[in-house]
Amino acid sequence: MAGRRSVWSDSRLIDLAKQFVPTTDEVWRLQGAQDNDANIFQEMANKGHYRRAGGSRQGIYVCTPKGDLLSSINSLDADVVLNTVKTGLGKWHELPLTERSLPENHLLNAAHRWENSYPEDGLVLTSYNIDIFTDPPINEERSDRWNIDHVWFNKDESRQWLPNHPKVGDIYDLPEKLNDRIFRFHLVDNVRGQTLPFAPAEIKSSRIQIEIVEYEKDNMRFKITGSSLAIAKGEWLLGENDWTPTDLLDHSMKTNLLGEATYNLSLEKFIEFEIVAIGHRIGKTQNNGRKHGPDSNYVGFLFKLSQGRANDKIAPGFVDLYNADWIIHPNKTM
Amino acid sequence: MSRTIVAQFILVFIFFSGCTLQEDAFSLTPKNFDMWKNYITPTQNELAWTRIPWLSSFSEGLIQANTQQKPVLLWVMNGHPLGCT
Repeated sequence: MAGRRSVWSDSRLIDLAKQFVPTTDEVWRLQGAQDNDANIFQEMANKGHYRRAGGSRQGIYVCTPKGDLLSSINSLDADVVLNTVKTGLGKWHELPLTERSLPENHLLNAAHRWENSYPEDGLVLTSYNIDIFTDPPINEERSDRWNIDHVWFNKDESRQWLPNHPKVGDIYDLPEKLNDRIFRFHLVDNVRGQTLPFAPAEIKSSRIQIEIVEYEKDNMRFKITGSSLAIAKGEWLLGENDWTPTDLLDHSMKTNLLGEATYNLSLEKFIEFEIVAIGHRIGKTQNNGRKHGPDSNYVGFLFKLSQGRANDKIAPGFVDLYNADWIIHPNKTM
Repeated sequence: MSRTIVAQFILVFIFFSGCTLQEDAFSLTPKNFDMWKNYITPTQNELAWTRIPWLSSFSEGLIQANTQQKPVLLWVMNGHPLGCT
């Protein structure tokens, strides 16, 4: 995610992007699936900066609407990317009009996208996390790496944040399944890059306690507190999947969390939601950018209601392993 | 003599009061909740990349590019660039 800062925050590129249709996507499906859009991508990537199939095809590509490659690069240097994008734009302007369009009736449907499971009427949170090195934190020494993720609960799970007959003064634990989702998939060390989720057995202790503090005009207001300890040491416990690491595990996360939320009983949804968590991480995972240390530090997490914009509908990082039977998985036989 | 004892008592009291009142480093309390929240929230500069109106799928990008007759600027990552990557 370093590219967010070093490349796409550059005002020259922000300005230049107006001459394009700026588009993002997750490369794993594009480089492996047999969908129409994935086939177009693979053909294009075979001519791009990583010509050899097999490794990651991540990077930046400029192409025509029918997928003809104009330029490509994978770089965190804004100057290099700027030149590449300008080169692609120059080639676009030289193209005859006939080369600038998709063939008629061309279908681009993807057989499966995780975003198809987006819980429109559920609870969707955006999470931010960042390393914390001092207490109090010093803004001038703010880490240059931070990350985003999304947390999904469907409508039924959203309602499970309340008891059946809620009243002021009620104090209760969040149901285990929802509790698990937060601690296994979201209170993880992905500040500097994709990490691994925790298996149920790796959650050594966890609890989210909720207290109903106010009830006014259909609005039920809660206080949320919680803590956890997750330790992954030794074998990977989540089977063979896209995340299966090659090395033995040795990492942990201890957290404390605090928050507030308001659920509207008439609308049957949360209208406010905010949790802050402070985690103490130890160790590293294969791809989470901790190779160069430190071996441990504190991580801050903020969970807040998503706004429902297109960008907020991106699936959670670990959606494929989510403990939710309403998530639609790709048909493996296809 | 009694003054010395009183002074010692006060010193001991101050020492232990200090120990108990001081919060552990990196603790999270209702008092410092906003401080941590504000720090974790990305700054405007950190969100500058969101000023680009990114679409979230390649197929949508191709279709829009065809409609608008513009080239596609595609950014792809392991993990969605608009989410956890």
